[in-house]
Amino acid sequence: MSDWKTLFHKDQFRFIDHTNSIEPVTALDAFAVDDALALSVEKGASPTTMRIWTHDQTVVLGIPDARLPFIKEGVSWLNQQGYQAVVRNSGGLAVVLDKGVMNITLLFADGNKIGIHEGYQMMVGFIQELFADYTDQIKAFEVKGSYCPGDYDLSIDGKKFAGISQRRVKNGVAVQIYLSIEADNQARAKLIESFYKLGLQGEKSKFAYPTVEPNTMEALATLLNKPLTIDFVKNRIREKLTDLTKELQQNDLTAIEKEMYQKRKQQMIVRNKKALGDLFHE
Amino acid sequence: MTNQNFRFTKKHEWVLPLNENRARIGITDHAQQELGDIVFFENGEIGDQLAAEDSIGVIESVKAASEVYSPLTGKIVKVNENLEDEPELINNDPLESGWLLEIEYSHPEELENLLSEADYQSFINEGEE
Repeated sequence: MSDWKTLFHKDQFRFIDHTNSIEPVTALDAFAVDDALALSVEKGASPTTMRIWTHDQTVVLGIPDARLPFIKEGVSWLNQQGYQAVVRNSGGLAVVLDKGVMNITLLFADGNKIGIHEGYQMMVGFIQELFADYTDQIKAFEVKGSYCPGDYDLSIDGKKFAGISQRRVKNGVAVQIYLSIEADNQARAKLIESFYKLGLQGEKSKFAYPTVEPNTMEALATLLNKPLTIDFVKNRIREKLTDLTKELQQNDLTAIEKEMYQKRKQQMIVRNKKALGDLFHE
Repeated sequence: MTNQNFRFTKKHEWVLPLNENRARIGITDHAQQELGDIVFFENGEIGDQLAAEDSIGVIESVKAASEVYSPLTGKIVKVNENLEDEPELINNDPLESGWLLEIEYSHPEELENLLSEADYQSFINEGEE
């Protein structure tokens, strides 16, 4: 499957907007919801799905972050700054979520046929299309100095505004992107820079944590010099999906998906307790 | 050529029966190549009862996090503790020192449903055509 649009041209496509809903309550719930949906899509109980979600004042950590020599100091400091820390289940390192950051999850089946690289390309293709009226300069490559650096960092003129991770559950795939829409992305980067300084305190570690350079990151609104907001992008996603898909369903989780979400949430709680110990608060 | 007793799944796990009710499980070389540099294996717990195809853990790499499934029904009896500090063993030596865990299996007939090395290689080659 080389053309990313193929995924959107199926007979049915599902859109779930969780940006304003009371549930999922925290980012921990959000990752459990994506697991439930990945399984639902994998079983054929749901068509290919896009879910959008936001969470305020949260730092999502990767498992390697939980092994920082001074993780307790780092997370306590984040808490003091008003940020909740959650260990995600989709790989990667620390990223910041707040009211100006939109998360998009693309969920599809056939993970046995669609490789990891292709999964990422689908999200990259969609995001480039989403903002094609404004720019053709969105590029995917690792931005050194950004937080959670990876091959699928999205940037304009070398300034990163988004990062992508991927989780595979059976043959279900969840490709998750955070889009830093509203400023201030350098402030977000400074937060993570300080977190790593406190978490490492100059000690050498086996794992290579990023040395964050805030000037490598910028919000999309700043990069495009447009007053972009989460609501604007949300509407644009809905319009774009309406254009791309044959039949767009808009609904929430089914009863079976809610049941699976509760099971997956328990797994997330266990993971977070293991990783963060006393620092984790349900 | 690997040990002839290895059996494989289409989800890219391998099984090596150690005796009549105990088997070692890992992921294949193909799987580790697809995942890239592995940074963590979150294993199931010793004593966990599993049905075939239940999750036995999650492998996180720099590219993605993927669940791993038990090819057999049984109980987890041992985990590879070396992976705690050296998850890269899964990349470097997936069929030997990079094994994931051992289970006591209760349905030996399930081994019959798994692929031989030759069949597994054919399955991979089909996917790459």
